[in-house]
Amino acid sequence: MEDAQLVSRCLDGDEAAFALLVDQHKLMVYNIVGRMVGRDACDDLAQEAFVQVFRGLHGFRGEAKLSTWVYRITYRVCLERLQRQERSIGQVPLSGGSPDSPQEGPWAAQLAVADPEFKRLEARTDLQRALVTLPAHYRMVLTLFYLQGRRYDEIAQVMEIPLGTVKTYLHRAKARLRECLLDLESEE
Amino acid sequence: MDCQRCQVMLPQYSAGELNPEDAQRLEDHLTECARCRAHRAAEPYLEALLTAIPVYEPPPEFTETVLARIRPQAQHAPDMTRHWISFVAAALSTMVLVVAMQRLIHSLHAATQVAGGNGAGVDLWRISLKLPMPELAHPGMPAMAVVALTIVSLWVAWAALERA
Repeated sequence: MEDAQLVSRCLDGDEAAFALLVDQHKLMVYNIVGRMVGRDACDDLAQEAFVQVFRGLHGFRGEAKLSTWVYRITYRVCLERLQRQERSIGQVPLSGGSPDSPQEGPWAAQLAVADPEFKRLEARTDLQRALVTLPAHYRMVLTLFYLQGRRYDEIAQVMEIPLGTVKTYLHRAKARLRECLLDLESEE
Repeated sequence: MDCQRCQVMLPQYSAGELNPEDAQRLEDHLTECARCRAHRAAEPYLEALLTAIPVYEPPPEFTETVLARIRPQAQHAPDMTRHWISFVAAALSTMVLVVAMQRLIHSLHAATQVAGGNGAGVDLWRISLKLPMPELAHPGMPAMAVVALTIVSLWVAWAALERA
């Protein structure tokens, strides 16, 4: 079913159509939330993202793909949650901060408490731990590029940033990951 | 080409997406720069790790849970027909207001002409409207005021009807 037709049926009150929309995008929405905010927030925030999608359906103009629009809403929902969390914890906000300054999500501290020595980690676990230290917009770019294989221009549409910024974020994100992985290896 | 630019362009180079000129400049830089060569050598390892990140699976009942959350909202969905009726009503009321204002301005202007000259005319405006009126130095000023009044009135009327 085409995007416009699916949205039209959703707006007509066809619950099955909206269920189809959710099924088509829930995996990616779930993983965007998981990478940006944390695994614990997946259920609640992913549901909230789809509620926002439902409320905003009349605003879908068809200028971008439906998936792009859904992921853009998800990204905004995650940023709002991160900003609220950071204000309540009293840390530097994860969105809008300098891309060059290291910023940690709140769950990074929880990981440190759970496993303070970080010994004998597999490479993929090292990468997971390195990922949580990245700014939210870096994690978003990595998730869209590597998890879903999105092109630069599609990522730019989702995140509403210039194409050049996408490339820069991707480059800096991987550079930061390399540094984090080297640091983790040196601690072993 | 500097190292930062080279490293930013490496993914596109590896994917064969660079134009021939940029690709040649990048290759020339790699020939001379050990750091960027090492960066390029590590790239496949990092990319393999990134593509192997575990995927989070939503629970089987996820879709039904979302539907349960939106059902109360779906029952009170916005009525687009009501929005259009509000807009037409606001437009009509604004047109009536604008025509009335234009007639008022026209009659006042005519009255100033009868009074003979801008001095007495301006005084007549002030007396009639009991408002501080600026010198009408620009002949189009009443029309501009009418346009601005139209836009503001339309917005206020539509907003008021939407809230009702």
